[in-house]
Amino acid sequence: MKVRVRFFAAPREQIGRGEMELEFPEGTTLSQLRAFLLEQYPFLRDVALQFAVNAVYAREDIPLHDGDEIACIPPVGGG
Amino acid sequence: MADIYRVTRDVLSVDEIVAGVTDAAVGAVVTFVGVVRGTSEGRQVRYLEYEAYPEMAERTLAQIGKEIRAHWPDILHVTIVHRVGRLEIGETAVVIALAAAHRPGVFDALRFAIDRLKEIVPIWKKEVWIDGEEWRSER
Repeated sequence: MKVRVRFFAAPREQIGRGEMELEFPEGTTLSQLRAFLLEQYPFLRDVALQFAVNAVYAREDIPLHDGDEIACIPPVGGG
Repeated sequence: MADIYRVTRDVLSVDEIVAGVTDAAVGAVVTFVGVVRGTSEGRQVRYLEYEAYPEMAERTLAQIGKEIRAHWPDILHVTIVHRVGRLEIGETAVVIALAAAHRPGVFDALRFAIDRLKEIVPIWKKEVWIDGEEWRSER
């Protein structure tokens, strides 16, 4: 299955792009995707990252599906 | 009139937003206007760069509106608009406008709205100084 991963703010700048498409086996979960990203981009370990799946905060580990959009959300700073 | 929850690159007009939440049933409008400050912890700020995850930001703004309505059912109209892109010192970054028939509750609701916005809405702010830059969060 293919998922789209989006990056914002400091992680986007450090990774050098705002989004990427990644392919994983069916049944891959959010925590597995997270582990993959932390391995690819070790600097993310120092960021208090939250994740959103299809534009909704994902507070727990959930299975991902083909076509999902996963956003890496560093600490927000609006206002 | 429908509530408005929007992320935009356009300049914000407080007058227009207040007019947009005002009708014959409204007797009190409270607004929070967030403005770009020229200093940050002793540093001189040149400008700010705001970035959003727009679809999710508008969705979480709408969630805040829902929470406001659950806690303060007397609120008649809600508008929350956040600007993104490059903002100069003195420009308006965010406007929250709440309208009700009478004033009780509206100040608490306004405080809740801006605190919640800073907590959950996926918008980020980069301060650009004379001698550097940094993405900032209060969290």
